[in-house]
Amino acid sequence: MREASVDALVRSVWAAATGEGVWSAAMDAVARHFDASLAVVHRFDLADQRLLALDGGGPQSQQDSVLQYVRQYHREDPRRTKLLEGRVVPHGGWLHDHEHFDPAFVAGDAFYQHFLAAYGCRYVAGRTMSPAPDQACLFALELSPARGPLNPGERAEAERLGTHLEDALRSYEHLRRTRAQVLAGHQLLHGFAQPMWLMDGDRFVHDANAAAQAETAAGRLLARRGPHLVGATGSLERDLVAAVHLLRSQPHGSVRVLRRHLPGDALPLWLHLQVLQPELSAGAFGAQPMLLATLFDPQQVPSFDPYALSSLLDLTPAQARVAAGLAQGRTVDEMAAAGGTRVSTVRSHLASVLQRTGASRSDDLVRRLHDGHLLWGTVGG
Amino acid sequence: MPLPDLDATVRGLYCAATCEAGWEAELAALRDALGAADLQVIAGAAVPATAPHCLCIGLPSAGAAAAVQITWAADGPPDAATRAWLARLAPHLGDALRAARRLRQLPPRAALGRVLLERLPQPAWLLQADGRIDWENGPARVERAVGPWLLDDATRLLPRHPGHRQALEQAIHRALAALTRRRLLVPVEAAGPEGVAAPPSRAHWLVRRMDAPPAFAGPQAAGAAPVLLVVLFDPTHAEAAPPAPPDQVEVLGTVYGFTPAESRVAQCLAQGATVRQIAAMLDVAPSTIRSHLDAVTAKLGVERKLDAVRLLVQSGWMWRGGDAGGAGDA
Repeated sequence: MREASVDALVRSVWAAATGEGVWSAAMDAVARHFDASLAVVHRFDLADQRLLALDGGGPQSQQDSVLQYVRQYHREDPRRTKLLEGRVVPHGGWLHDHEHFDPAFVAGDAFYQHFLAAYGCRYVAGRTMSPAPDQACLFALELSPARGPLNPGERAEAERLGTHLEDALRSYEHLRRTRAQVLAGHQLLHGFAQPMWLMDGDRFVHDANAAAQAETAAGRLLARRGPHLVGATGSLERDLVAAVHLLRSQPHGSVRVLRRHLPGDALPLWLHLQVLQPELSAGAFGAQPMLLATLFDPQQVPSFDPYALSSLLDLTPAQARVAAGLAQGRTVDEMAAAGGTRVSTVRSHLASVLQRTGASRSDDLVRRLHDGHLLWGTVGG
Repeated sequence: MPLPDLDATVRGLYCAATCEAGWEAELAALRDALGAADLQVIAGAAVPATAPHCLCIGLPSAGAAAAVQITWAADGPPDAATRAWLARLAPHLGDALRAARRLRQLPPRAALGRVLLERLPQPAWLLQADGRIDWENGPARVERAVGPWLLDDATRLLPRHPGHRQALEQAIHRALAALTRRRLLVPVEAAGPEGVAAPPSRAHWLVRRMDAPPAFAGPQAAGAAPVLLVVLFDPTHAEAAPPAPPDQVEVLGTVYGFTPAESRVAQCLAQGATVRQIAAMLDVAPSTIRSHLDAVTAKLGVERKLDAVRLLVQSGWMWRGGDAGGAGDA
C-alpha cells in the first residue's frame, strides 16, 4: 500500500534527522519508492552557494556520477540555478524540469547531454529548503527517461515527504550545532586540571573529569554517595544542599562559592558552583538545569608539557623547564638545587625566557603561563 | 470531531524530540486535538483497556517498553477512524520517544560547552568539518571584530593573510584526517604567496579534533561528524588585556572576601600591572596600593606577590568572564 510506504519513508527521514539512522539509508528508501535513479539532499552555503555536503541513495548513488557532480558538474547544473534563485518556482515549491525546459533546450544543454545522459538520468523533481539562515538545501529525485516524470499521485506523495524533510533538515541542523557545543563541553571538562563535576539539581553526577574522580576517591572534602556528589563533612553537606537548592531556580550562569579551610592547610579550598540553564522554555521535556561544580585547590599546581611550552614560546628545553617551574611556584634557589645547577644558570635561563616571551617580570611570566594552560597543560593533552 | 492532520502531528512530535519545542506541550496538543480527557506516555507494555472510553497502544519502537494511554470522557469513546489514525501514529510516536530520551541530555551539556569555552582567556572557535563556525567565545568575537588576524566573515574563520589562511586550512584538513585526537599547533608566520611579508608574529593556531564519546553520539557513526576546536594563541596579546568589566570586582569580592579597593588592585595585578602602574591607573599613592596588596596576599593565604598573581590567574575562570554574576558566601 502506497500510503503505508510513504509513512515508512517519513520514519526513515526522521531517523536520519535524529541520528538514529543515516541520510543515505533514508534516501535509498525514497529512491526505491519512487523508482528513481537517485534521491539526494544537497546542502549549500547561502553566502557563496558553495556545496557543503551531498547525501544520496538509490541505484545511482554508488556511481562516480555523484563524485563528478560534487567535484565539478553541480556548478553547471541549470536546474540547481533555477531552484536556488527561486524565480521559476518560489522557495518550497516543486520544480518538475520538463515543465520548464523544453526538449530543444535539453537537446542543446551540455549538462543534460554530457553529464545526465551518460548516467541514464533525464527528469528531475526537486524543491528547496532552508534549514538554517546561512544554508540552503535541495532535495531532488533523479529519474530515468524510461521511468518518466512523476505522475500526479507521486507528486502528492513527494510533496508530503518534502514537508517532512524541511522540518527534519532544520532539526538535524539544530542538533548538529548543539552537538558541537556538547562535544566542546565534554572535551574541555576533561581537559581542565581542576576537579569538575557536571550534575543535575539532585546532585546526580552526569560527568566528572579525572581530577574530580581522584578528589572524591580521596574524600577529603567531597565524596560520592552512589551516583550523587555529597560533602564529606556534615557542615559542607549542609552548605552544599542549600547552595544547590538556591541555584536550581536561578538564571543561567548564576554562581555560588563555598570556601573551606582544611585542618593543617595554609590555603583554603574554593568550591565554585555555576548553574547551566538550557535555552528552552520552562517545563519542556528534558530541559532540567544542570550545575557545574569546580573545586579550586591552590595547592594543586597544574603540570605543563615542556614540549608544547618550548614549541609555542620558542624556548630551549632547559628554558622551558625553568618557565614551568616558576609557574608551578618554585623559586630560583629551589630549581637550582633540584636540577643540580648553579643559581646563576637558572637566573640566566629565566632572563632568556622573559626576553623571548616578552614578559616584563617574573609575575608577568607566571600570569602568561597560567593563562595558556589549555595550550601546554598536560591534563587531557 | 475531525481527526487532526497526521503529518503535522508527526512533525510536531519529532521537533519536540529534537529539543526545538516542549515535549509535554506537544502531547497536550495531541490530547486536545483528539478531544481526549487525558493522554499519558507510560512505561511498560500496553495494558488492555479497562473501559470502552480508554485506549492503550504499545510503542514497540520506543526502545524501552512504553505505551500511550488515552482516556476520553465517557460520552466520547474513540471510533474506528480514530483507532486507525492512532495505529498509524504509534510507530512515529515510539521513534520520537526514543530520540527524545537520548537527546534530552544535549541542551544542558551544550550549555556546559558554552560556559567552559567562555572560561578560556584565548579566542576559541568551534568549527564544523565543512569549516563553518558553530560557536565562538567572547575573546573570539573581539578578535574577529577588531583583531589583526581575521576577516570579519559571518560564517567562516578567515585569516586576513593568504599565507595564514592556507596554513590554517591545511591544519584543519590534517586534524580531520588524523585518527588520533592530538592537538595540532600551526605557527601563524607563513609568508604570503605574492611575496607579501606576513606581519611578524609568534602567534599559533591550536587545532584539535573532537569526536563524539559513545554516550551521546547517535547509534549511527555518520551522524557523528567530527568537530574542531580552534584556539588562537598570541603571546604578544597578553600586553593588551581589555579593561575588565566592573562586575568582576564584585565577583572577586565574593570569592576571596576582598574589599572593593582590594578587588580592583587584585584585578590589575592579575592583568600584569606593577604597583606603580596600578597606583597611576587608580590615581592613588603607591604606598596605599602596597597596603592593599598586603591585604590581598594575606587573604589568599600566601606570602609572595608572585604567588598571589599565580593564584589569581589560576583561578581566573572563577571571576573573569561576563556571565559570572550572582551571589556567593564565604
